[in-house]
Amino acid sequence: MIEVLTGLAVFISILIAVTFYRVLVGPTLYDRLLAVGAIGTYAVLLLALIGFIYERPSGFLDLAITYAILNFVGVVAIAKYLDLDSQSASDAAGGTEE
Amino acid sequence: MTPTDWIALPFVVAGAFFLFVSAVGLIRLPDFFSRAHAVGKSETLGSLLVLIGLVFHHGFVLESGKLILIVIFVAITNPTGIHTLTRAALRAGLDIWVHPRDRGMRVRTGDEIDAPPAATTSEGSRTEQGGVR
Repeated sequence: MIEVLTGLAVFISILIAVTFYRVLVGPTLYDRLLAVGAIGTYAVLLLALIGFIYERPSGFLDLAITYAILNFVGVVAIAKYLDLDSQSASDAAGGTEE
Repeated sequence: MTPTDWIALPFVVAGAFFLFVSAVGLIRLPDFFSRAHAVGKSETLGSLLVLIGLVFHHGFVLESGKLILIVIFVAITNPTGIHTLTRAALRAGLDIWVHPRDRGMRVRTGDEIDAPPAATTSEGSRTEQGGVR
């Protein structure tokens, strides 16, 4: 089973490299952010797999939990910031006076 | 391989397949919203299947509790984050991809979908709106 998990870890590393293409050439900022979030989820899986490959899963699973939380907070914070930015921009353009 | 590993193997392989589908969708699909569709569902399912496979591989001890915690957390937060990102992109007015066969047709926006349908069953005198599909 260790061989299977090692193969899966290598496979996920390849997927991270492929997904990084979207970070580099993504036409919009949102594409890049989406790819960064996807890479974060792959990294959580990679941390859990490395823990089981090295037969020491306890500490690595704590790292994976922390990484999942930070990944979620980062993506949501930047998305809300962009949402606020576009709303204030449309308010400035539309000129809805209050 | 222990017997529980034979239970874990299909989960892990199916999870790897769905992760592969997610990466292919992220690279190949034509616009942001379809890419978000690929990542938001396929990647979540792939992650859950791999983590459940690891639970079966390790047996039901403390580390499996941590794994189930990651499963619950990923199942809640991954679609939520991508939904937030997609809503920001929709409000920023990102272009929506249309099939080349349908270029030139009007794409109905959200307000028109929410509005009641144009009165086609009434007296039929409202033909001035008939051109709008």
